[in-house]
Amino acid sequence: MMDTILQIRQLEKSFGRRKIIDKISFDVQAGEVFGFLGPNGAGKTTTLKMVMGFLQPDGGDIVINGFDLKRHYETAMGSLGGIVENPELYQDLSGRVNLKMYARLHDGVTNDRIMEVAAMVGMQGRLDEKVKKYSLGMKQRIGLAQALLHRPKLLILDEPTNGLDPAGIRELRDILKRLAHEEHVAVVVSSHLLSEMQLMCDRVAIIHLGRLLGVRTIRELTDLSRQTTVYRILTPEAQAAAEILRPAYGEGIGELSEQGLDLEVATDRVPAVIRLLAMKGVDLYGVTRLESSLEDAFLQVTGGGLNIE
Amino acid sequence: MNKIIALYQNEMIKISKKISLVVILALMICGVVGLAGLMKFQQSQQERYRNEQGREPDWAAEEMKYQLDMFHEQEDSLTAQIDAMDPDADDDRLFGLEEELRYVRRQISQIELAMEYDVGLYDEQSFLNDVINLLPDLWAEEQRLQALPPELRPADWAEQVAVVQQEESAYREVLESRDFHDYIELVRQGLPRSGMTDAMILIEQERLDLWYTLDPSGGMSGDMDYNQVRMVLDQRVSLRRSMLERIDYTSSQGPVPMTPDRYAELENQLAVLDYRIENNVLSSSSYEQSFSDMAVSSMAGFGMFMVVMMMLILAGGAISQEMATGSIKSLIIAPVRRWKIFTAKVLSLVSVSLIATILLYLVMILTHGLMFGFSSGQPYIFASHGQAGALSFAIYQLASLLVRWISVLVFIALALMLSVVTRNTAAAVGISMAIFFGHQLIGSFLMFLPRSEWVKFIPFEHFSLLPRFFPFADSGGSFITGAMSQTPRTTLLFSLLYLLVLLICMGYTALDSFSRRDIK
Repeated sequence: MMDTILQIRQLEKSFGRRKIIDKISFDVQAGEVFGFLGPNGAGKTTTLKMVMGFLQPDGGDIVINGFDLKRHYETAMGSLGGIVENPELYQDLSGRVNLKMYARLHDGVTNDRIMEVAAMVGMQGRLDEKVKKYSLGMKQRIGLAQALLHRPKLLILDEPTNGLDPAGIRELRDILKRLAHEEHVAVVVSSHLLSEMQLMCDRVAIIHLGRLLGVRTIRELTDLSRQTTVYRILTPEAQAAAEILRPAYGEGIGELSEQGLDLEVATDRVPAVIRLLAMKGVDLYGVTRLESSLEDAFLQVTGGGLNIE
Repeated sequence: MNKIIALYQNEMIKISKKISLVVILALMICGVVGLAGLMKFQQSQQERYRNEQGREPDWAAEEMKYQLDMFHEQEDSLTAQIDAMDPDADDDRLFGLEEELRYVRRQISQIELAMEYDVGLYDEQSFLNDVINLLPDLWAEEQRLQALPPELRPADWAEQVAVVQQEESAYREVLESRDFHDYIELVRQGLPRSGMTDAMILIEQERLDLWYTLDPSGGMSGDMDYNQVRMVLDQRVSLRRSMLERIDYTSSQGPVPMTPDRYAELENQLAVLDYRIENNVLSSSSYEQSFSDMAVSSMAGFGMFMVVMMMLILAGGAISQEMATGSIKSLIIAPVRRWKIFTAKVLSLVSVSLIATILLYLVMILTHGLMFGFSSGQPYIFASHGQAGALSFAIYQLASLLVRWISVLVFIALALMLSVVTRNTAAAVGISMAIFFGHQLIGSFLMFLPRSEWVKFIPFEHFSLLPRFFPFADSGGSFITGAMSQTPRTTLLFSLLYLLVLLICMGYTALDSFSRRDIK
């Protein structure tokens, strides 16, 4: 059974005359990790800040767990937890006091729950130290603990992997996946890195210049990018290689250069291409897969028909 | 409501961890204790000086001898000058010299009289000095009568001479016996002959009675400050006379016609004065009392100054600092509406200022009590509709600190509003401090403005609440209210309403800006 936890309808926001968010609508279900993908400045943080009460939307509706944010602000916000950019805690207070202060603003958060959440993020041993003695990673753990204290139905993390080391990123990923898949929390994560999204998310919304270009499952995205990918064949004889490949892969031949040629081809055909070129005596220095850019990916996803000026 | 309480608790935790708060409170306590210590030190210096004087009893006697010699020399030179002058030449100059000679002779006879009866003219203050001042007048009067040519003498001439002579010998007896009661009776007997109206004689008789009740030794015992007693009684006479004749003799511009308002004021002043006399709490001009009072007023002034500084720093950073560090984020994301966050901030600031004020009060009362004695504080005596009452020292000091606290609230609102609107701690604290320091300056300039209507809508007019709440206080000048000895242009109620409107306007501006503007 799927519950819609976050509903966004026709959301609009301008700063001055500049339109930052232009009629964005999407839903997030319970139990999924939802990625919010787009280049810097696309409007990811602005959208999430409107959901978290920092900014007032100029138009549109935000419904959290069935409650409209405008009319039932406190009830709606009660089922939301989140971190914007870096968690900012009170430096002169201990981690425990920070958590307690935050717990006081929610109903039904016990001391046991504080310890439970602290254990979940691995901070139970250092709760009584002052926050200013924590490392950035530790602050982020306390921030996450704070966001989870009141068992939110919707967890929003804006660029959560910023400043984390690879081990930290993996740990965060595991925690988020467990929250979504075992505790049925709807998790929204924003990022500008597709690779990160691919490892973490179930669905991804792609946003560019304030407009939503589409929402796809991560499987759809990766399938598509697996089907046709651009490979760069490194060879000094690019022109000759192009002639050899033209009969079979003519439509996939891209740019020719001194280093070699780009070829758009299904991944499972790559061995055949290499074999063919080798047989014809072309000198091969290597074949690299070009990372398909974000725009390429969503152009593919959305059929390439969108004008993204 | 629960949410506001929770937010309030959080705010108090945050404020309690602020270093600026601890530092300023520590400075405040040190300063307050230090000021009291300074006053105590000066008082002990003064006492030592007095004691040193006391150990040399001869200085006054020597001074008298010196003065006597000086006056004798002057007498000689004056007589020489008068003798050398041509009696017909310069009338004015001759007259002036003769006048001077009379004065010098009078001084000589006074000093001689004092030496004869062993009265210290320069180091003692008692009714004996008055007698010594009075006797030369009687002699002069007798001389005048005796000098009258027989054909100009009135019918009761002999009688008049007898009366003067009788008074003379009576006053000499008083000098001999040193009995204050005899002196009072003597003055009382002389009243009908003074040419005063019956009503004035009554007032004078009241004065004599009160004098004897206040200080039965007439200044001889040293229990009461002789000059102070006389000053209080003179003040009472001028109040009584003003009310009786419906002419204001107490005004600094000389006698002016009485208005009904002024009459009611004087009535209250008289009630206060009578209450003081009756309960033997005279105003604070005695030297011991003045150090104790100065200590209290400087402690209160400095303490409240520090409270204002602290509150400007706290309120000026209340919102902007959280925005600068980003810690506002965890507040915004919590399920509480923004007006509740704002309300909790306001409540915490108000209660911190109140706690600081009460802490100041306790430190003040304790320091003052330990240094000057716990019973040395002056009560506040007031009157309305001619009925006097008193507030004990402890309650009066608490009440006056709380009155000062009202104007602190206005500055909290100002700093908080600037903090929200500018979102810049430095600007908020800087501007509000500039206004705080500036308002005293502007306030003292406003004193010179004509009493026109628009002046009362200038906010600075209304910060000096203290003299309005406690119009009968001796001295109302202080740091926070700005010294304001003039009578206020507006009533207390108007000022309070004005400040309330000011508070609401600033509070609403801040609240509106905080709840509506985006936090990026």
